[in-house]
Amino acid sequence: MPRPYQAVIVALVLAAGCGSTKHYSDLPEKNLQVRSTLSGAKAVMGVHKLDARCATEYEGVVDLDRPLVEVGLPPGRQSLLVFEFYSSSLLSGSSSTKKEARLVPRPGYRYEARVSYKDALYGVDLFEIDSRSGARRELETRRRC
Amino acid sequence: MGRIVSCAAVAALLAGCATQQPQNAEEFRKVAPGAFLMASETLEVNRPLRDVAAAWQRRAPECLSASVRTTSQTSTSYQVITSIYKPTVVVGKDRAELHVQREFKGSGVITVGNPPQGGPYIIVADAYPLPGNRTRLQLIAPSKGQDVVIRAIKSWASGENLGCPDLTKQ
Repeated sequence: MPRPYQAVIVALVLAAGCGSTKHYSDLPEKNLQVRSTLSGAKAVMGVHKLDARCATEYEGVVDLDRPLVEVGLPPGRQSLLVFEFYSSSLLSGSSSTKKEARLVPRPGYRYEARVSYKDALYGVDLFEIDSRSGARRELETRRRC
Repeated sequence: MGRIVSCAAVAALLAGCATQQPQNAEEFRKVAPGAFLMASETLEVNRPLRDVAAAWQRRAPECLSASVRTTSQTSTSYQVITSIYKPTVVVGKDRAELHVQREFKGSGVITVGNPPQGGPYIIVADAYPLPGNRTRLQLIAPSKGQDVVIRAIKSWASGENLGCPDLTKQ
């Protein structure tokens, strides 16, 4: 199948919200704010449960289709967040790239993820904010296993 | 796919179509600037060497220790090629270095010459201190095909953008 047709199909699937995509059922208490600045790509955040042996269990996906999306993650449990950037063009076809971040939300803290894509450079920066003092620190986003 | 072929061509030309490819960054510095489809660029950034080195040390392993899987399909064939990137950062008193190697794996991939472990060198960036907390960058890289990685290396050095390059855009 010629690549332009593949790109069109991928674009249509993405535009349709991927039909069978399992959306993440988050908690009512939102402890993660995802702030996105996207130019030239769409992004989603996959949420996986991560156990002590680093085995993952897919829980669903969150569309990052607005500048600010709030998500409720279970505190005290390891979650693996997979930020995936999608782009497509008729000439070069479709592509995706992803970045993973491990997070164990702590009670009494809130979290902010800054997600960006511009000029084929992407970034995911994760911060932990003390709800009482407002003190903020950047978290390491690399997965350790 | 065409890009992979052209990259392979660059590697072959760099090797002089012979058996000996640069086995380390120093050999790459000597051979690459004069090779066909390779370019050398020098620029200055308004940051001290220690900041440039710190940015490279932080971002290169995070962003460039990666692999890209490319699939190409026609009515008669289907091919999967994986490009594996390997960054190395070396920081000394008077110079910081960022080397990028890349190797291709997959059916139909032909290895030319004797590439070093980790694959042929494709980019070597060096940073030297200048007076006034400035830094001179020297990049040796293919003149085409690595624009996004080169832009990222420069952006990390200048502090302009600390994002990772989308390696699927090569």
